[in-house]
Amino acid sequence: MNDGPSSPSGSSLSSLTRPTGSSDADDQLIGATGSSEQMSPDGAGGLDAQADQWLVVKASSGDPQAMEVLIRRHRDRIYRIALRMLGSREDAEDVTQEVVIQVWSVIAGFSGASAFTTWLYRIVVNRCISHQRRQRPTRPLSEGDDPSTPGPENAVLARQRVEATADALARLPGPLRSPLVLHEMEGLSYREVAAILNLSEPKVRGRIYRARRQLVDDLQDWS
Amino acid sequence: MTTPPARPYEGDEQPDTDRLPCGAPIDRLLDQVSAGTASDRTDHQEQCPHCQAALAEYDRLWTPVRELAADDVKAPDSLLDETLRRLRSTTSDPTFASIPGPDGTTRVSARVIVVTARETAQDVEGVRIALGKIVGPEARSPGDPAADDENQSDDSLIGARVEGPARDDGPRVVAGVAGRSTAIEITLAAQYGVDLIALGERLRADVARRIGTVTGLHPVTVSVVIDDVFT
Repeated sequence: MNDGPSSPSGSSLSSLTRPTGSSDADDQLIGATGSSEQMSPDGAGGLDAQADQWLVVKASSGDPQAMEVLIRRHRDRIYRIALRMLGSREDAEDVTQEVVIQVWSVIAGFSGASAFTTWLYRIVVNRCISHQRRQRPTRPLSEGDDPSTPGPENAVLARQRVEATADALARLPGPLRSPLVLHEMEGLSYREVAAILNLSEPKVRGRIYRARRQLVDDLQDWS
Repeated sequence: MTTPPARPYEGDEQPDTDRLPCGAPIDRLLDQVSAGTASDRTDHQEQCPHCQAALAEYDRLWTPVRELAADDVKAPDSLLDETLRRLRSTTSDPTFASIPGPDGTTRVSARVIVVTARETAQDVEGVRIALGKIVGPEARSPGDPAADDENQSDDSLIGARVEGPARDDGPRVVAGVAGRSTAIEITLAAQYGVDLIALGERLRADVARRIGTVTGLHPVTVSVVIDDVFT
């Protein structure tokens, strides 16, 4: 499987460096009183933040159609974040449903102090953290576990590698996983991630760095 | 020809940052790989075998992470539809339009009309975001004189006559009747700078055509409310 170039100096990546020695606290739910940092003008991932805000105002005043449109605009990202955070489609579906219901229920309480996306993704991350706390520590069966997966060998191997990455991502400690998912998977900036997680930008950078290190070490073990 | 030794890395990272033997910080290299710019080497990296090897290895290991990020994951439609259906049930408009035919009646919910109008409006150039709603006799209270002549012949009837449930069962939707209060209303925010009058006309035509095609309720009155403009 290991058909790529050997690691620098022929040893594991970990051995190249001094150990970080730091550890993270347990997952903490993110407080509602986060930063008032706004997302970029186009909104996260190119979504139209002005349109979001327009819909939020209408949804907050009781327009169910505006609420539905708002949720439909963000549903894939809600699900995707949950999937990458939890590593299981079933869990991601559960969390997506919970998030939709929560947003529908509390949209009137959204103050607008932060961008809607900041508020929404904070809810998603918190729901994922809560969901994991309730779960027993079992590893879900992923598609890559199916030895009978058909297809050319290279495609199967590539798919398995991606599945292994998803599993490795899901195994990261929560405080490292959340910022990495938001930054690497969702393309949010450090600043946006910091606003969502209610952390300082340097702290987000540090966590993402440690998450990357852990991820590449895991992936090297796999390959 | 011998390669000159690489200059030591000179950067602004904290002293406790993990580094390669040449002194280059690992986090900077991972940033570079994550950004997809591993091949855009700095002067130091051009000369440094440690950096070149690390960049190559990190880039190889990071490939499946990029593939995972590029995976176009969609929320299952059934999942969201069911959740929204349950949430809507507390607020939904229960009205139906009934289109009589020779072999039976087709019932079209008000929601179908609204969604069709909204999605059509959303696709019109110059529209940034749109919502639709049905405005009409359902807003009238029982006994309203305007409601009493619904079953009368009307010269202004220019489209399919559409009726909802009996009055005792709830409100009615009448669409395609000119001169009456039943209508589709589109509320939207437009792109700043577009000709709003032309936008309204274009939208009105597109929505009426689409609703006619999809529901048979053709033509309908389409009111356009331009609620905001976005720069």
